[in-house]
Amino acid sequence: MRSAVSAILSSPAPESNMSHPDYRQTAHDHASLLIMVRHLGSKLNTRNFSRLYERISRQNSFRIKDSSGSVRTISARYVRSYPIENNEWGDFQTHRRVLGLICVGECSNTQEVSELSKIHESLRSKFSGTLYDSCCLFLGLQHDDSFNETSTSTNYVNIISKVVSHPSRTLYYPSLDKCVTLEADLQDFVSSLFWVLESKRLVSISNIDKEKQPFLCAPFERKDLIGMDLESRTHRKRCVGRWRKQVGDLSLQAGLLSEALEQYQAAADVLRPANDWLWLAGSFEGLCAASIILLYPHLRRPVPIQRNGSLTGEGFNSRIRSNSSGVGVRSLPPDIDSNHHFLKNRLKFKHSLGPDEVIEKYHEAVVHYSKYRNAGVIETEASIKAVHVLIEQRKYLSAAEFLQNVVFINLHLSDEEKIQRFTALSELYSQLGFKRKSSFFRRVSAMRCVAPMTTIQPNWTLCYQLLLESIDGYKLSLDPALLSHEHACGWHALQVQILQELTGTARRLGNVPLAIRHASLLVHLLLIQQQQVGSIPILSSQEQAEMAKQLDQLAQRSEMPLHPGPLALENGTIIPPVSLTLLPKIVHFKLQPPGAVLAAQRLMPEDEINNGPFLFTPIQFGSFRKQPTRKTQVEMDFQWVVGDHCEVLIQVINPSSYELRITNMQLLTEDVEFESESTSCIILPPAVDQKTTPTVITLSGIPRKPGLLKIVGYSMTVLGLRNHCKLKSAMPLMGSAFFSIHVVPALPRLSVEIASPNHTLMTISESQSVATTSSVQLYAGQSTECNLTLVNTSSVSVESFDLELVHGNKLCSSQVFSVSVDNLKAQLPWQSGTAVSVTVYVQGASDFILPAITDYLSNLHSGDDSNSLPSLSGPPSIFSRLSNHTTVTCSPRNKAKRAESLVSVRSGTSSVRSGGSSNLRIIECHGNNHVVPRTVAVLLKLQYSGGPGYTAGFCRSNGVGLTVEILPSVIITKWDVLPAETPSHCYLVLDILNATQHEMELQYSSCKHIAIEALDTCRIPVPVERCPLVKLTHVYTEKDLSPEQQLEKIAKICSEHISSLVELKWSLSGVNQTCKASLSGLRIAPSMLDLLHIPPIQLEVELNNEIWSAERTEFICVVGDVLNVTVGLFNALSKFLGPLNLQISVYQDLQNGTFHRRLDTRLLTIGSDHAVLEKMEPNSNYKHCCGIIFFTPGTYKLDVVCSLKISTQNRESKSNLPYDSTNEQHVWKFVPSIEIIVSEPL
Amino acid sequence: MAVCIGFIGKENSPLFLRCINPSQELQFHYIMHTCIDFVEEKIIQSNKSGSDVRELYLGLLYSSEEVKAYGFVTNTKVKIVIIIDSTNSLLRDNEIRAIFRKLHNAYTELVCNPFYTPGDPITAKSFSILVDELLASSSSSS
Repeated sequence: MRSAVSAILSSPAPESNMSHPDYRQTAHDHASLLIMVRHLGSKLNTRNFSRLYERISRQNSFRIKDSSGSVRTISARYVRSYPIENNEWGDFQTHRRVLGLICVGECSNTQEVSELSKIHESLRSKFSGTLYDSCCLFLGLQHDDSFNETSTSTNYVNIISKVVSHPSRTLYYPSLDKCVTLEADLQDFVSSLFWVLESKRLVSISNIDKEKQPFLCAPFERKDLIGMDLESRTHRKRCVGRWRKQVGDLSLQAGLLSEALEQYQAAADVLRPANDWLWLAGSFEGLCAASIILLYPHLRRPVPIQRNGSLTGEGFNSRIRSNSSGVGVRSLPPDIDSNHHFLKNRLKFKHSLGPDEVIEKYHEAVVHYSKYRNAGVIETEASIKAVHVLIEQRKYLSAAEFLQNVVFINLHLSDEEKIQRFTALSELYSQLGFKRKSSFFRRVSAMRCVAPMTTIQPNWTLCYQLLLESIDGYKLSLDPALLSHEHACGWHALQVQILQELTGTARRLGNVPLAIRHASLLVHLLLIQQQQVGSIPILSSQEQAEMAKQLDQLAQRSEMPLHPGPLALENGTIIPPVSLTLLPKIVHFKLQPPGAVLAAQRLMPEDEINNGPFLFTPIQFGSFRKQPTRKTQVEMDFQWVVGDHCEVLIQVINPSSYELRITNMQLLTEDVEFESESTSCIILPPAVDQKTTPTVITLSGIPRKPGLLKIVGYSMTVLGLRNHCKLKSAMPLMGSAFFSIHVVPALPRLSVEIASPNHTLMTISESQSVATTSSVQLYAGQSTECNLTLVNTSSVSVESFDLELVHGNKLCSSQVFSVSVDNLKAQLPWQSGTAVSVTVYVQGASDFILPAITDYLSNLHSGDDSNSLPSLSGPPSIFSRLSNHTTVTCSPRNKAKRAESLVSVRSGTSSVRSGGSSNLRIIECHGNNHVVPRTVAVLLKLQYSGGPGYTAGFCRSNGVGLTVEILPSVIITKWDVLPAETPSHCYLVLDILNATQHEMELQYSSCKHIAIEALDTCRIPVPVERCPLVKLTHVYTEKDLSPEQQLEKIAKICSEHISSLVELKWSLSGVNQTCKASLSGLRIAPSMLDLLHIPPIQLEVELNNEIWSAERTEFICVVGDVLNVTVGLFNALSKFLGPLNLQISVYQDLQNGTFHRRLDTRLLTIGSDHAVLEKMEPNSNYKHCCGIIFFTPGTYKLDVVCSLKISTQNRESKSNLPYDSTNEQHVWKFVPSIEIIVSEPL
Repeated sequence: MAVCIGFIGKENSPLFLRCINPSQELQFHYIMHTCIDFVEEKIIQSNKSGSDVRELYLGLLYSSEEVKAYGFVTNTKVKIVIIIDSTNSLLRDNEIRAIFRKLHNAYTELVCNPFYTPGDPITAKSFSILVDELLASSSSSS
């Protein structure tokens, strides 16, 4: 047998080990015939070839009748290429032999045919050792021609027969679409293969029993043959065992399962004692394969499906989706199912294995294979086959063990094959459901593609593709929206790593947009991770900043503007857009209502429009339908106006540690045309250990069309990237995808300018949200006017206008302000740019009377305190003088006491004291109030509309606030009435306070002026004509009046009389305007009344029968002479008066403020110096006479006073009180007092 | 010689990872991450068996030339993984079980802390000191 050794050695065995594992091999492949389909020539394009190949591949099962007439199922396996090294292993496992060769080419002429035939021939010779049959398939030629004896087709045959040494099958098809007979031809071809196979099998079977079988060996075993004892018993056994094993292989291929099982079992039985581990493992594998075909007939290699031709790389062709393996599709658990199969088959095939036995045998086989370094590929494939079975059995852990073993098999592989191996492993792991493991291997293979030490050119495309496929296992998604939901369970360090690798790969690919996309996702991811509670940052803040910087640089590198939409890769992968919604992070998003000035309002309130009947029902129709819609959108309760500048305020925080430069930030809107304006800003990172304060950014724009505007987000450029951030993702907590707001048709816009009298122009800016106010300072009594200039600054004309004064305090401000707009309205419409003006008249209306006195009651009680004129200045009114000396009880202080004691009867003196102090206080605060400037405000409410907005029922309103500060100017602090020289006049004595800071020139009568220093008080007498009786007669004659009411009425009439007559004109040194102060509201005390009006009782005095007239100043008489005084009374009223008390008194004025009345020693009165008239008829006269004799010379004064006691019904009831009501009387005095000079007798 | 100890949360997110050589951390991340597949599968398998008392110790999850990973899963599905240097296979199964028990106790104590929310990454100092000590002792003992 030595010669045989040399023969073996001489045979070329360039590579002894098989180095091309088929990771997709299944147990079913053991039973199929391997047919290689080759693409010849360049004329047939790849795509058409692929189509044809697929069509051929679908024909993988044939039913052929064998010689005994039974039908055998023969399966075929097609490959496009097959390494010759693997073919060498055909002895070991016959299914590794290429049995058939089909060459496909396209040609149109004889030359091409001959060329292709040559290639075919060379291929055939390459595999000649194993080929049973070959076939040439030409497209582009008419098959029929050959039979129609046309010269051309015979030529082809001739040519082919010339080129090909022994003619093989040749098939002609006119084109790819017209090869109807292809399937039938394939059937023919395969059956020819079958028959060869069958014959070989039969020969082999017949050889078993012969003495000498050739020694079959695996390629790497050949060199071991040297020195082997070929005659030994063991060797014999090996020969037999191996032979049987091959017969088993052939039987399996020939469709004879039971035959195969029997042979395998026999082979195993022989080989085990012979310690031929490799071949023992081979027969185990065969046994397993046959059993699997029985147990899992569906576990075939899947038929290749139509796929994108552009998918690159050989490695991809072998990939299938993890779910397509059919795991878990069936309802029955695989164990039960397969066991059922097994039990059924056990009867028919007695050597077949059960599901667990299959794994056991595989395990054994793998163990045996692993003993041979060169059998790595076989071991790998066996493991993978076992994994497939285990997946089917759902024993994933065991499957993982097998796979783990595959990893450790040491194969001499090229780098490309290593990549393939890892990819295949990844694929298998994913079939196991081990996503993480799968991703790990995918990443490993990706890294292999670009490993620096490899011999192959770095394949960045493949690397990228593989990396992209691996992200799933890391719970990473390219879509940021999905990312935020799942990120919690991901492994941050790994996610960051893979994104960094993706970015890098994309950069190496030269696809900058892609790199940017991944880099921005990385930045986004880091921010998400940062937000998680308690998470440990994967990258330091510096690294993050670096990352952002890189991103920025990348963005600058890309020349074309980056499209924020999804990116489509060449292979059809869509990379979703990444919006840096967290950079900056939006914390608040608010649509700003337009300023109050620009807000659109309904011309008519809405409830007036829908004034249908009000019906109430507790049933809420459609409430269920409405609720979800409310959730998804937030509608504003205000409107925006077309053409107006509208704003959205957003508050953002910078979550990163680096400075953010945001440019071109705009609003994203939908549905209505909206012109967004872009803004830019820089947001600094929050300082260390400091709470972040949001930065406010204003985004603005102008709506161009009316309608419902949706604000769905914002776009911005940050880190050099254009981002479209939808609110949905930027503010997921908002619960709404957009804000919606109504946009109202265009409305005109008026700008309002106020020219206030101080000539300070105040322009109302359009964005101002509050109504403008203008403030004017006026002295009380001064008047001015304000000019309002309205300019239509919009392009829409104003068609309707209304102005209204809204008073804060109606009484006050209506006196102060007045306006008229009638002529303005006549000018409507105001075109764009029109300016109109309105004048508002402002009057510094005020009370000039100190209110402490104007208050009637307090006046009564406090008269004797600080406000009472008499206490300040010497001679008080005549009345008070009179009352002082005649009736003690009429003192106002006593009255006050009485009031107090009425209030608190039981308290003693303390109440008096407290009462007094409280009175004082009232006066003080009154006094203070009056001196303080008073502010009166009014709102000029403009309402206007026009253009399309007007027709839509909207208008604008503008409020202009006018505030007038009325400074006190002239204040009448006290007043009294003094008798004048003539009975027809009296003097109104006023204490006038100049409350201004300037010197005041006061004109108080037609020719009298006085200058008052600032804050100085001056007393001025104003001559006033006494109130004529005509005005008062009705008061006296009216019957139903109580005396109090009567007094009040008289006081009122007198007050009006005074204010009509007296007008104080004043001017300030600073203000060259004459202002007026009126005395209206002057409250007249009853004591002053009698002096103020002409009394109803007219007095006439005759001295020594001479009628005393006011012109005379003095009357001279002599000591000792009797001075006859005759007083005449005349009742001028048409009503009786009484009782009247006439009193004639003489006194001496000491000119120092005191009067000397006790003149008993100086004069003597003859007759009665007083008289009482119970009743005086209307228009009647009465005369009273008396005489006076003066004893000593001097100057005396004579007073004639007539007092009228007012009778009241309740007089009696009051009389028991300690004081008398004598003050409730009118006192009329003859004015002026008569001065009598008594001289010594001559 | 244990080189790395990791805690993985109920939802398979990393809670804590500590290794002797920080430069290898990423590598251990990968190993731990892939180990989850095995742990998950083992949990499913043990659930199928239907017994009430589940063995918490999962045994060997993964082995390569350099390292071996052992797994342990608490009743609240918190996974503990210890990675051991394969070259030094002096650590026996019993010892590994003992380490797991200690780690489990440490984790139980941690969860008892009211300020720790289960499922959050573990940042407690006392816990990390404990794990560091375990790492150091297991590597020194062998």
